Amino acid sequence: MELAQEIDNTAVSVDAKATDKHIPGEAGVWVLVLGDAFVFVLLFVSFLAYRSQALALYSDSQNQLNMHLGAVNTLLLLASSWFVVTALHALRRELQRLAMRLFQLAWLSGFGFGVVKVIEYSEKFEQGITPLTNSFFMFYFVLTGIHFIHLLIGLGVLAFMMSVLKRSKPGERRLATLESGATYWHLVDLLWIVLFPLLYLVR
Amino acid sequence: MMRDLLLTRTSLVWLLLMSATAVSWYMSTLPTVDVVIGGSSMILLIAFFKVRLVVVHFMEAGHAPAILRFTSEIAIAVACLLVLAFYHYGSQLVAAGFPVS
Repeated sequence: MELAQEIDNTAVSVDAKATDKHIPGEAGVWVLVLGDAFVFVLLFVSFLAYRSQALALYSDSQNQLNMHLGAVNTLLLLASSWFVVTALHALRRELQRLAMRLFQLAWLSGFGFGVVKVIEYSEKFEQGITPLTNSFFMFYFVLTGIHFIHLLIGLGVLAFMMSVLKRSKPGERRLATLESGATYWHLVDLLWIVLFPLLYLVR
Repeated sequence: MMRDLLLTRTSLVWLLLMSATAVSWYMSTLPTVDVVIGGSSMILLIAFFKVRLVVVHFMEAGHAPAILRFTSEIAIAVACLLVLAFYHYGSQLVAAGFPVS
């Protein structure tokens, strides 16, 4: 009810921040994103190079992955990213309470990804599959493990963003901080967008 | 007012991303899709198309200065080409000297 009132009381004007040409967040975060993505691309091509040397092994190993859990995780991260970007739109319209709710939903979606990943890892260990099983599973655990660390950091970043939203005053500085956090969170999403088809889907 | 916040280009992009994921998910379950339309290449292309949508619309590179937007677009295109090249010609690239132990 309060949320609806907050929304109704807000004049929706043309969002100047969204239409201005500006770097979202701090420029340094973009350097981090590009550098991180570069390392992942190197890992992707290494995976494909090793795969080309043992296609049958990689295909058999891939069949042991649970594709459906991977797909559910993709949907969770995409939903989480949408919550974050919509939260920023809400903030630019000074809908602070709604933005907080959306950040909370984003955090929960990200947490859901983590839970599904733990279930998936447990399944593998129960089947006796470890990083030492073969080179496919070495890549599987290393790539998804590094991504999982990114996710944990991202959940911390989202929690920090909620704390910033709660404690600091509205303004350019706060928006830039939140945009920086959002940029990092989207990195977690886009890395998974490539990892998922590469490991689970591509035949 | 809530409608103004939800009925945005970003939401449309999100629906497109979810749909593209569903299409890739479905395509990978078709046993003969590789032979018929090069399904795996298509799945990889869809993945990088999704990456571009996230970078331009969610990370707001589309509203960023041209240098950031073009750097991002070029980086995505190069990454896509590299991944497709190694997917199709991995063994030739290894034979040409790409290191694998």
